[in-house]
Amino acid sequence: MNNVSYQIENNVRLSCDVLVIGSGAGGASAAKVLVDHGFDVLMVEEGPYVPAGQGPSELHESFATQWRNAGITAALGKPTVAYAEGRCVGGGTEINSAIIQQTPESLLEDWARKYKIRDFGPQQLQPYYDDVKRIVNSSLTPPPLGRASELLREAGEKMGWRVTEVERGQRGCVGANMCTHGCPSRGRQSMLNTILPEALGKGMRLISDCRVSRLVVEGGRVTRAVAKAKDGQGKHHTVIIWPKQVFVCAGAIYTPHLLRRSGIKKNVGNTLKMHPTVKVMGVFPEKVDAHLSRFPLYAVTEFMPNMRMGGSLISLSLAGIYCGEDWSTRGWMMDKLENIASYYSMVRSDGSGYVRPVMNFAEPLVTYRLTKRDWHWLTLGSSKLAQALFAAGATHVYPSIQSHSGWHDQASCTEFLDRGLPQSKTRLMSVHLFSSCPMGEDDTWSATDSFGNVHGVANLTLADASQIPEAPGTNPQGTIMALALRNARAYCEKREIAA
Amino acid sequence: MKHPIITAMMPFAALLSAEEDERLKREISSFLSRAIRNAPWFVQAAALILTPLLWVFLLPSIIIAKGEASAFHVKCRKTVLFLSIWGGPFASLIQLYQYLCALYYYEHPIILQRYGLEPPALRQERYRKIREKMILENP
Repeated sequence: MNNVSYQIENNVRLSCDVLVIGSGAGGASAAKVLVDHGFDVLMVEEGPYVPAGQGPSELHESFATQWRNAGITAALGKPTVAYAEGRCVGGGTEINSAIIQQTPESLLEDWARKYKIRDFGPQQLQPYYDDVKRIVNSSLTPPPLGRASELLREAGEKMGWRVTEVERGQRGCVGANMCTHGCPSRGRQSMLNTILPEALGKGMRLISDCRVSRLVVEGGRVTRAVAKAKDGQGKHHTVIIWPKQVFVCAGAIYTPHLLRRSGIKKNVGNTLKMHPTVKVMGVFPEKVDAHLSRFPLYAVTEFMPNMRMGGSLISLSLAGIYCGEDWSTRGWMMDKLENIASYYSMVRSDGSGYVRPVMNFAEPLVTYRLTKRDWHWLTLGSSKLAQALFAAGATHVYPSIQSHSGWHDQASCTEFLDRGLPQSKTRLMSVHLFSSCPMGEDDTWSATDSFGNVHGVANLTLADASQIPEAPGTNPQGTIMALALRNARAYCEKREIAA
Repeated sequence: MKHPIITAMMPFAALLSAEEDERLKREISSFLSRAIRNAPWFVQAAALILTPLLWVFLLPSIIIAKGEASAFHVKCRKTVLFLSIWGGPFASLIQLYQYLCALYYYEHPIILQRYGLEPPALRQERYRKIREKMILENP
């Protein structure tokens, strides 16, 4: 069927106990709890259904089908930060590297105190993290990890830093190096490989290619959701859904976008946070073959939670994107594909951004402003990472700065330490966005209570990255899933008590 | 001397014959249009306003190059580099075009073949079989 559980060919009206909007890490986790408690769950997903393991073979095709706006999304500011989100059944978990990390305990304690969040300390969240790890089989990836991984480990160790091998949601990863286009071997334990088939088997209904445009709030309750679903011929049909309860799990951009479009504006979309990331490409005299093996599976955790260094996928096309920043100084590397590897420094930003719907446009306007502290860490991160790569034997290191001619030794990569990275030329990107609808008991600044229930709307709960109070400095999938499980269980317990 | 914007974003295509180069640029051009159509409205608006302006900046390259392909290429690239140095929306649009052009170009079967790389569909299939075998042996 075109839309998974339905073949939408006309305008339709549906009803359910719980409507879950979004099928990524948050939506799927919330749906699992709700289905297990016997609720009649209807899940809607804006993106298409791409069966697990059947993703496109090329990245540009994957962008068109599985990524939001064909991979062209940006938070405006100085500079513009490119960000990426999944837009398919399974959401971001179908295009990420499935790294599962817990938010540091000190941060959780700090957030609980600072934002007055009930039952939120490390001890209270640990059972949820344990459930997440079990669901996605969070584990170390089977060896061999590849030379690009080893080089990052050697680089960190030579600098005397703490280096950690990262756990991933994987079961028998065979290292196809195609995480970004829907793992072809199904080794990555995305939502399509774990929760969603189980929930569908237990009676959950799922409509793909269906975008909720607004929630109708009457008398302090959401009475219905208005959506448009696309049929097999690309025609759009109106879908009206009458739910008893709504879980919005559309991510840090589209959750506040939907809420604001529905007239729910209090503390919504004002506090977007992210992990701005600066990439560097290292050229080594030895054969690394990073394009044929797994992405680097070690992380330099010495500077966490302020900054983390790691490695990313490289392929001929991704190398082309880096070199395309300036062919005259970098073009030669295209003939050295087997010698290059890609790494990054990811910063826990304390900057902030807005998400605002714009009348008559489907996409929101997203802005982000980095702080001096963010630039300090980005500068330090790129410089230190380059130093470490030289220590591991790199002959050239190229930061992602427009027209930069690259660094050729350890001394040269300190050039920005005094004056900072050139803000207009540095190309920043982020795949981690959070905090746009923060939780807490103080409704002067929070959008929801401690369990995701939106202030002033009786039957509306959030369960996604928008709830994380600040940037965690770690890969967020584990925390998103843990919070979604927690919020959904709190709802179920409340219903059981009421019954 | 067609496709000056795409030419400006690409390495000099010594790997390709003139016909292959022309065909690839046509395909990249249609890919760019598709990608921009799927982009957010503010990216579409920037492309609509700034692309003709970029074309105007590249026009002298066509005149100076006098029909010589490599000279045309060098001129176009220098113009784009000069424009991108100043930052702002113009540089962001150039960055987007560079990114999309390189992505499509280096995923094209002709280019992959020239680099001696395995076609991605075959690679996917190979890894599916590896894992299937692994699961059979260690269920």
